Amino acid sequence: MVMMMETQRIPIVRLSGKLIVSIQTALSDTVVDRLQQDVAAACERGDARGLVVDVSGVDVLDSYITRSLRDLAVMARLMGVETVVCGLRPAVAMTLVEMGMELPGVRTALNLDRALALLDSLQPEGLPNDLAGEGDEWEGEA
Amino acid sequence: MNEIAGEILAILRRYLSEPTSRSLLTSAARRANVRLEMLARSEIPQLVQQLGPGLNIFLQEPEKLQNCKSLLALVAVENAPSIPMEPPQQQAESRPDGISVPIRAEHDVVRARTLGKDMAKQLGFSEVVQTKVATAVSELARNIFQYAGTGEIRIRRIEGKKRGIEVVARDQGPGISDPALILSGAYRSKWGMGAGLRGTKRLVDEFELDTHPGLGTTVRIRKYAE
Repeated sequence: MVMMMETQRIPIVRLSGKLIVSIQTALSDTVVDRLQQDVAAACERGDARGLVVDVSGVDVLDSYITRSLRDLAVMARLMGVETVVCGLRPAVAMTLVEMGMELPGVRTALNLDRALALLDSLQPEGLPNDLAGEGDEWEGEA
Repeated sequence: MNEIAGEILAILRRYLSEPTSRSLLTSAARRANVRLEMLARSEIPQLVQQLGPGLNIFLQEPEKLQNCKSLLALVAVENAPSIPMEPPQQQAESRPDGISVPIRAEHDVVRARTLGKDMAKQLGFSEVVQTKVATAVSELARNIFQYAGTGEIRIRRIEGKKRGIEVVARDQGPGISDPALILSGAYRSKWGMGAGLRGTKRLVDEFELDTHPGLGTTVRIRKYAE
């Protein structure tokens, strides 16, 4: 049987200075790795001040994918792009808590609207990125 | 349409629209020479066989097609016997005691996970339990792929006093030299190796780990309807 082997890509949308990624497909490791690279490349262009990852279309987040999402957020942050993960389904959130994986250090929001609002509140117009973030939030992670 | 035919329709409905499902089912029944009003489990294989061509046309995605066919095959065996912990005998993919998903490529991890969720849904589990089952299957399948390379995930339903789902993950990989240490969480960081197994254990009702260094690992988990 012929499998669809070409790597699926998750589109990255640019909207008024923000990158928006909406994941609407079953996440395989390859797709996640590809997304990390694409996001890094998008951040490198330098015109983005924030990144929103909408996971409302994701019905399963296992430990690897969760870690990859966290890595993605940390990586974007290191490049000066603040990340908000939004749209976590209730069942997914409950599963993550039960597994003991709570996306430490990653900002989350209920939905896309709130994620965008949160990014706006983090980075008032005209403020450079490094003055708008809070410094110590990322250190407590084991 | 009797209850068994209803079960089949319900599975088709997960993947196809109502009119498509019904027309596929009735035309397959006609070709298989079975009556949907009095369908017997023994007649399911021939009915499913006749459904095949239609499904191939309407279900373009190989993963969905495979899952749909696996679920259909499962309806034929309501009261399956328990899966033994011994190494698997070489048999065809559709066994009488559940669905077998060979894990050979990364893609199979997604397939096993989707199938686990589909089956939990079919059993009437809540959304949260479905997600827990799917996540646990994903962890086990990924461990196989990452550490053993190849292996097998078998999923079956548990009937009886407590309804539930059983997943057995088996590989002939390197095994785990100190399972107690891995499961305790003392090994490596929160995110490192072992996180998957620890997480799985916390998600399910029963967890059995049987591992022999150099020979392989078998994990059996069970999750019951709440």
